[in-house]
Amino acid sequence: MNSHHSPPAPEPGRRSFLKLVTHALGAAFAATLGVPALAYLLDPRNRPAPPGDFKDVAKLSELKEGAPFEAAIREVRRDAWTLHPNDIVGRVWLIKQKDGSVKTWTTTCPHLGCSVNFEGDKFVCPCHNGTFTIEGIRTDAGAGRKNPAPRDMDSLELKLADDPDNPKDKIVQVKFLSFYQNVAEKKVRT
Amino acid sequence: MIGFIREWVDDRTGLGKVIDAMLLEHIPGGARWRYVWGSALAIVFSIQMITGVLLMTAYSPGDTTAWSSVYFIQYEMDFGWLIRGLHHFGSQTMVVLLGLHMLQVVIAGAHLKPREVNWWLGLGLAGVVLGLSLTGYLLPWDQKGFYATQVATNIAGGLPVIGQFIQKVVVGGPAYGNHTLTRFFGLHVAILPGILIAMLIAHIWVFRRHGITTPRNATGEGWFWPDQAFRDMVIGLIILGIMFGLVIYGWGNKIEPTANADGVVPERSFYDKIAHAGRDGRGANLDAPADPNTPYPARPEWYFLSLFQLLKHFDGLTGTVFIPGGIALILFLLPLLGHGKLRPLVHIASVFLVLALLGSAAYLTGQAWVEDQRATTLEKKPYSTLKDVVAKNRYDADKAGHFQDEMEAADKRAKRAIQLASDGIPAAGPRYLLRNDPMTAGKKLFKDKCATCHNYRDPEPEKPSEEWMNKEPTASDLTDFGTKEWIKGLLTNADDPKYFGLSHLKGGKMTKEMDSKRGKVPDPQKRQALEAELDSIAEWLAGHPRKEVPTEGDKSPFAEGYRKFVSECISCHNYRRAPGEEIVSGPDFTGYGDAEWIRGMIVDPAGKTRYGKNNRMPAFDDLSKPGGELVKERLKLAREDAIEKAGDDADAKKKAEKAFDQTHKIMNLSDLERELIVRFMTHDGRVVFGGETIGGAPLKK
Repeated sequence: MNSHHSPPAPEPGRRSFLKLVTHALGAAFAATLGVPALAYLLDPRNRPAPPGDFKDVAKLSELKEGAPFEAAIREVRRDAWTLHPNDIVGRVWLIKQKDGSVKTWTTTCPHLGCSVNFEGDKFVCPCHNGTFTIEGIRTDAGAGRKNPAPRDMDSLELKLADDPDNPKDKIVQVKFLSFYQNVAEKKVRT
Repeated sequence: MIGFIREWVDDRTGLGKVIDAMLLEHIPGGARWRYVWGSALAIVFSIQMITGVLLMTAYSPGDTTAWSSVYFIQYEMDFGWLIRGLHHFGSQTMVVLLGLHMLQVVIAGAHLKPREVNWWLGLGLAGVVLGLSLTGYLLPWDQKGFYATQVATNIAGGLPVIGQFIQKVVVGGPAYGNHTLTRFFGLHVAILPGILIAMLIAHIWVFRRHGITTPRNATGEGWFWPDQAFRDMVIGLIILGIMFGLVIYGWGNKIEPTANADGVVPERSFYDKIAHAGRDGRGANLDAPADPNTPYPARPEWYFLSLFQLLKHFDGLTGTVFIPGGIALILFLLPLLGHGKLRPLVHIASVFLVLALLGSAAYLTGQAWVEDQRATTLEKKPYSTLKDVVAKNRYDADKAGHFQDEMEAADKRAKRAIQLASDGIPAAGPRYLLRNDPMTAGKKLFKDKCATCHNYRDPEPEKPSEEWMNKEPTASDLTDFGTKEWIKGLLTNADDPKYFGLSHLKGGKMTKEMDSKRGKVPDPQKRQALEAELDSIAEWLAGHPRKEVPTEGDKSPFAEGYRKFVSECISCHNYRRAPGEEIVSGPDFTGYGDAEWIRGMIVDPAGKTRYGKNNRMPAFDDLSKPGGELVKERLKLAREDAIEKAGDDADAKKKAEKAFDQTHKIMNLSDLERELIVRFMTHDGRVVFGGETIGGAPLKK
């Protein structure tokens, strides 16, 4: 090292100007790379969640009154570059009601997104004791445990369409959507 | 505030002293422009680090994902084309700067005593940089990288004794695949950059120990900060500018914008045009996905072309190991020779040696380039001069022409693959974009399976002589099948060779029916009305009608067309036959000419809703799929049934047997192949998503 040399002789005008210009050039350099780099890193903002569409999930004849039925949602799935023309994108619980109508909820827990099971007579999330009645309403987790779910289970829109193969049956169609977890308000993911 | 933070941090870390030590380097003789090359290399390396880490956040090393993720970076992500382009040209810039830096070092004599160790560190660094280039070239997993790197790893495999073992370890197995990518990726993003950084620190450390090698007559005083730093920064920005220029010039394939459902090509915003300029061909090139099924005329990146050319001059280990290794050894020994009185001599010799090396590399590179160019390219100046200088007698116009033909075919495949990828890539991997492309693979299948009897006019033949797919057709010409013109032609003259003229249907029921229809209306005016009616029926059928039978009051064009169809055709052709309704002799016209109709024709042409007993076309079904045996079994049973139904008379049995065999031939065509043909025929260019056929791990023996 050249420690035996004294620091640069003062030459205030020229040197500070040179320093300033060098700093400016460095800043220009950083910006030229930094701005596109930032846009590149924030690229996922360009990929919206799919809008959701009514999909066939089951035949009405498959459902038994009052018994939860787990059905898969098949849709076109785009995963960055990969296109899955017919992939399972989620699951729903279907329950046929006394009047013949059907209610449906996504299996995704509104707390932190684990998959809600049906145990005994309740919907129970295996992660943090999220517990819901068969109507999808938040309820006591039992054994003195806390129910952390911020809202009831997320219900979905449902239609009963004619079955072209069997005029006596109906096809259950569900409009599948994802919602933001961990907030009291049920808000569709965008 | 800034001052306070600086003091607080410095007080606790001593960072200020470190920065001072780095910046306050004394430069005897003052800062100079010629000292910039080392810093320039460091600056470009930092660009490589930044862009490399950015690429790493989106790249996925794997046989089925690598190309796709690079495609996604290049064409879909905001400024991905720019980041990738800078990284691509950054690597080439590094190589150029290495040459300049090396030249500057030997000119200054900075490789001689006492700086021998730093010269060696520099040589090592150069090797690591070339290693980074080599490993990075493979990562896009495109045809170019795939085949070029095969060459490099096979060179390693040719080394005596341990070569094949080394090759297997580097490649990650007996053949290229997932582990080739993960291993090259690991080398490229962690191991080699780690070694490079460590060596670079040592390089700068040793450099600072001895200081800069100043020219003998240098006067004046200078400091790294800001005198030299300013110059370095200016050069750094100029280099970045050149790299930007190369990236923006564009070397990639464009994606043609496609219309949305309303038939409108959406207008692109200003931001979109810049952020996704890759779609306009900006940035680095991406070749077709790596596919051992497709040949590729492999060439290495331009800075390896001289080594590539060397292999054409020297075979065996001479070209791959001894000559390059010998050069490396001489460079290594160079500073040791320059002691005492020999120093000035070795100094001058070094300059000549490096110049000679760069010159030879340039000569070989030029020769390699010329040997690949078309004769027409080389007619023009300055290429003709270059040819005369480097490759006069070596040039072979035929070979070069073949190379360029292959290259053009490869470029076409690359363009097609990228266009298809813009709709989404199958999970089975991007190589299925082309393998399952109706317009290339489907066309070929049609040619092999259908144009053995049928004819077809290829709108894009590879050679003009191949425009007509079948020179001696025995069945109808399916060019434009299902269009209004095709149908009207059939209605006008069914016995034309284009329709039934070559088949046993010539002069059959259809011909007779149409003749009789026309015979009944000799009056020219009424005849014109009939032709107009047939025209509208043709138009109606060309719309591949599938809608339900219209109600009586329905006045829609569809309903009008249907009524004309009923009045002229319904006696021989069904449309949306109700259960119990008679099945008439001609094919059912529900959806005539659409994908589903053609599919039915391919799978079951002798079916009651197709040509029935008039059929002579083989059925094409997937006999290789699980359950394929059942198709054959069912046919066998149907045959037995038909013979049995003929009664006890031996002649009748024979007749029934013959009739059955005439109408029921069966050939193997996989479901995937069939869909490729159907989409080709219906001009539906979407990739058939299917991947490999249904299968599993082989049964254990």
